[in-house]
Amino acid sequence: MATREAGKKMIMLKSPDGMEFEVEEAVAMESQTIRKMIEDDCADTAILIPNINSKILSRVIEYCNKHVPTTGATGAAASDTVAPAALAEDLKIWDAEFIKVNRATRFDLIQAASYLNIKGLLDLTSQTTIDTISDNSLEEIRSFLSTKNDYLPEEEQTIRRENQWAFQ
Amino acid sequence: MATAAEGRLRRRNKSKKKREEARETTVLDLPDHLFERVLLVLGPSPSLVRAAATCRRWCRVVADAGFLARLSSVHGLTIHAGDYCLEFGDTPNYFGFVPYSSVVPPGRFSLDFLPGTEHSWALKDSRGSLLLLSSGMSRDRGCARGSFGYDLQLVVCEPLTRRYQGILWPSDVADYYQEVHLIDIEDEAGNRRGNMSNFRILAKVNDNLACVFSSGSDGGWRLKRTQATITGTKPWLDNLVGRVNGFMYWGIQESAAVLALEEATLEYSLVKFPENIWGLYNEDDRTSWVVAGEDGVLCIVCLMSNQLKVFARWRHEGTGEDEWVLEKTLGLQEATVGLPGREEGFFEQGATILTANSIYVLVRPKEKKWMFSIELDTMRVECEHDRNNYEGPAYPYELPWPPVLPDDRGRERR
Repeated sequence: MATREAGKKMIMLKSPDGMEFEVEEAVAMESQTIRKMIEDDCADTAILIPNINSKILSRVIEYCNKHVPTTGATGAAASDTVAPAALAEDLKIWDAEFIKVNRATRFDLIQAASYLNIKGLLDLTSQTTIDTISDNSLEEIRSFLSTKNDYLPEEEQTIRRENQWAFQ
Repeated sequence: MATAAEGRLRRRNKSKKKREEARETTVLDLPDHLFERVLLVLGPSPSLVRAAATCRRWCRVVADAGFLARLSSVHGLTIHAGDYCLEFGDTPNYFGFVPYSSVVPPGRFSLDFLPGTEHSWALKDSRGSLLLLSSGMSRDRGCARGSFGYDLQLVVCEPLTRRYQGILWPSDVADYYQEVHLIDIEDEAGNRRGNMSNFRILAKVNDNLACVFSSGSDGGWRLKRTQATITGTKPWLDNLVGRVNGFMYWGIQESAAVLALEEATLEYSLVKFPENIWGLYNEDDRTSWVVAGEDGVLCIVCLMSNQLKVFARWRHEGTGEDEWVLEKTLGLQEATVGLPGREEGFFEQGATILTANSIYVLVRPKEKKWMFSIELDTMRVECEHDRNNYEGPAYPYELPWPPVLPDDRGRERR
């Protein structure tokens, strides 16, 4: 396996709280946002990632590290390389462990995945949120998502009556 | 494999980091477009309606026409909840609900909210989330009129919202109607299936005359002259052979042509199918049906020498000529071996297609009332599903969609 010393291009990512992460360019380019910056030559030495704190950014890098295609000596993302089934299964198990985070972190990850445009991570975080919404009652969804019920009682009653079939 | 921890870390501003971590992110921090993306994954479902019911902001996202359109483009326009399946035979017609998805409890599909008993109503048609039923016994069996309190009334109902509307026949044609259907409506939102406040009923009166009922304050029955008789046949009455893409098709006895009705315009046309595929239609022994294939392509499913075949119609642009492509074939004799109840000697006299839709084909051998289905996407054969207990047509039932949600001004809209 090629190592950093063997000439892999490294890139510095900076979080707004002052942390710096040195990552392989191929890993950083899992983010379409960063890829575009690099391709447009906007990323000289370090890239500041606004709005994503170091805790979340390190998780995102962890995800990209795991999901970067391993083939290709240059480290360029080989998106057309089909991962063998075993590898895909391994990734699925890894993803399931990775996403076992509290809900605040999950919403942070959704936002980070969206800003950095990492489709896989956005799908993963969305799906996990959806799994929680599905099969839960209205009250459970409210409590899980910490949303505040701002309907008037009669308004909520109307929604429930009109869409009775959707409520348990 | 390198991990994030291996990256070089340099801490610069400790106090700022602490401050950042003190604030917890909640779902309210997600911008609408991200929240919408999450909900897109959820698809049209009861959960999505419940999500909309949690707070105003979410409701606004879900009720948005753009969001609903994107939802449809990802997941399809409709949610097939199950079929109301009809059992032929004794009057009045018996039917039951066969669920296809567990998102809504089966009890919700009961018709116990209708007046009368469960046998007061005969199922005539379904469209989207609506059912069309007529009161009392089937008239062509000679039941005396007026023997029921509802006196040949039609009812349109939506089981999942437990609402119904009775519709009286215009008295001068009540004696003569032969067949009734719910037909597509025109809706600017692209919803052709209708709902309790917007639906249309088509009733065949005789070969030259149909009645169309429209809901709404300016609705009611209107007469519609038809040209169905140009075929010189009796194409209606139980000879419906399929409904695809806004067209209804009726088989014509001893003919390879079918009568097509475009639901939006109520215009009839004669469609000629290749005789070597469609055969010559025989209302007592039906072996050909029209179903919607993938992407709404019109398909013919037919039985030829105990082979179930699926042909798709490809229309050449420009010339407008049809090409029929054989997509699937299944030998029934071999495929059913080993199924419970399968007997030696089945299919020697052939088989009949009892009903067919885009999901499955229901077949029985001539020898015995032993029903089984072939799933069209996989061509898997099975006889365990509840749908195999019904010999009559299956009326697909969809969840009411989009849900009825208040808009920003607090008014309900659909």
